[in-house]
Amino acid sequence: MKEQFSIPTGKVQRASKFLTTGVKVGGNYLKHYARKSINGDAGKDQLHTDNARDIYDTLSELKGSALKAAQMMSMDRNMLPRAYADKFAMAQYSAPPLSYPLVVKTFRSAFGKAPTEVFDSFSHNAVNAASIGQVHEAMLNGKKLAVKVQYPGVADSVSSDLKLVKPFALRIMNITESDFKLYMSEVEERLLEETDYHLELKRSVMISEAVLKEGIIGIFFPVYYPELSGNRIITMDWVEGMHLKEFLATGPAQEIRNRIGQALWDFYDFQMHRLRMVHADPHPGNFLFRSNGSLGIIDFGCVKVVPDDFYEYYFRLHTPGVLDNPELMTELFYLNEFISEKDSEAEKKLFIPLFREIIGLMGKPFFAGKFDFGDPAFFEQVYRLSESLYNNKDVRNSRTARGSKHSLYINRTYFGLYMLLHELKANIVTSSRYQGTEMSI
Amino acid sequence: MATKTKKNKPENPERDLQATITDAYIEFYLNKGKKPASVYEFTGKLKMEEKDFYQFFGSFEGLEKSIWAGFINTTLETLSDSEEYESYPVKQKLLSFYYTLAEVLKSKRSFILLSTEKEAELLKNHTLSKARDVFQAFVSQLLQEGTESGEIVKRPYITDRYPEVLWLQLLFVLRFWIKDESAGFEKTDAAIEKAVKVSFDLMGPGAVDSLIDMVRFLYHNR
Repeated sequence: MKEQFSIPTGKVQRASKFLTTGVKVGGNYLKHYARKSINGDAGKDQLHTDNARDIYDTLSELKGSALKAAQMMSMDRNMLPRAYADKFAMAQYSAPPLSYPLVVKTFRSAFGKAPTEVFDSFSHNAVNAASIGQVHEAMLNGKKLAVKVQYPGVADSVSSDLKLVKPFALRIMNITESDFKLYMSEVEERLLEETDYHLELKRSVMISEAVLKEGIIGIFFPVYYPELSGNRIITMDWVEGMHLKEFLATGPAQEIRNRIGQALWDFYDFQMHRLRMVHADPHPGNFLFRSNGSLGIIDFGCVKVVPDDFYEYYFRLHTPGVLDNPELMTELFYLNEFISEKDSEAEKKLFIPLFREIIGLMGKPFFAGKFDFGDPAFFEQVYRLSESLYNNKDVRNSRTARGSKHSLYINRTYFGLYMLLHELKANIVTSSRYQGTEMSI
Repeated sequence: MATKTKKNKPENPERDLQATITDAYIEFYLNKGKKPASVYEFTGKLKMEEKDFYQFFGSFEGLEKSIWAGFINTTLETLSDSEEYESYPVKQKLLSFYYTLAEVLKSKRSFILLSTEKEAELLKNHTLSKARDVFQAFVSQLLQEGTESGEIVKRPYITDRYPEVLWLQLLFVLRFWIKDESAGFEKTDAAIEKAVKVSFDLMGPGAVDSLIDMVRFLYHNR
């Protein structure tokens, strides 16, 4: 892996990066209108692709929270036109490593020892890059370990990074600044949690132990080593397995894909309804697949704790039959903050049927009890709906944010889960095994 | 610093005495916020004779020079204690130097802040002259090693200036660290990564050579 040292950290440097992107995006609009004046009908797709490429190029040179924000936006595909989403999805795989001497320094400040003194062996180069850290391979007492090291100054730069993403996010999401702040405070909170390796370690141990105790078939976790972890270091077992793309390239049988898909679904079902906290970062890099149909889960950096009232409103809405009961449905729309008393009659008339359509579509796997995620028709419908929402002038002109701030990560989680299951083409049982059962803590 | 010296050279009482004087001076400075009024007063407090002081230093200024040179020396000693260090490419060696130096300086941060606050020009003036000599000897060696390994390109006239340029880089890092308020001085870490990256980009093969080549071409052909 080639080391890249140029991470612009100064706010000015970052700002100038975004500035050039702003100029480029502006240029893309110009090109778009030029094409339009020549062809009469220039595809908006080309424009979106150009914009996404330039925004992505910028973000991929940044580390930390800007990259995280890009990842988050990329997961929330239903909020973004397809071209943006595809480009942002690439950001999930890129982040340049930091120098080995800095890794040594991080170890010295955590343990007073160099990595080679802590472990029997330790790889000088990162074997894997995560968005706010990098992974080194180590050996201790004949055991292969993965050691995650966080970049310095990440926590410090979260807030200033988000401020920089703001103009772009505002433009893409097109909501008022006060609504935007509400969402951004949620994102900031999650990102700050993600830089807290003590919290991550605690949650990793807690969730993995709960899932193992429950005996969900086909899920495995690395063992975590608190004594070899610190502020900016987490040590865990090295998990063998393939990344999604490699795994799919081996042409796994339908039965295996179903088994893994089911394990994945049950894992989320259990977290959501029993633990009331979920691994909210279901992008392919956080899962390792094995040919025997089992699944390793390796990163609990982003965990969303589900508040009780939000949980109740969200899942009451995702109950079969609710959408056919206009009165109950409208009441739940208010509770889920899709519409509010501040909305005009015209807005209510516009948004109630729209949300009925969105929930009806996105909730399909919940309502169905059994669902074939390999069905391309479902995803085509989702894309078509999101494109039509994006292109709907009335929707775009309404600059009110809709949906509770908690839904940001919950939707992202479910949508990421859908995408994974879609790639797996898994046909699985989706009725909940845990919903409505007693919580056991 | 003092303990390190003791550990490495246990049967050298002179160095012990020198370290004792140095530590006492720093302590005096930290407690009083200024230099002792005279060597006489200072050695009196240490219950030693004034001439013992002159055995090592000509003045307090000389003492401060030696403190700064000591920071660099301690850093280099720490580096040579590390088995891994020898196997590093030159760029990583310089990075290690800075990270180690930052650790060494951390234990004397109060003194550094206090003494640089009192004399804003300190970082420019000759207090650092001894430190500079030690550092430049170190980087000259690094540069030679880097030239042999191909990490650094030999360029007429320019190559000779590298030790000075790298000294300016060290001053940059030092000033950045003095003003750094981030927890664990993490921002200084980032500054070091960037500064070293830039210097090696410039000293290594690439853009600079193409530029020189083009300038030379234009000079001969216009």
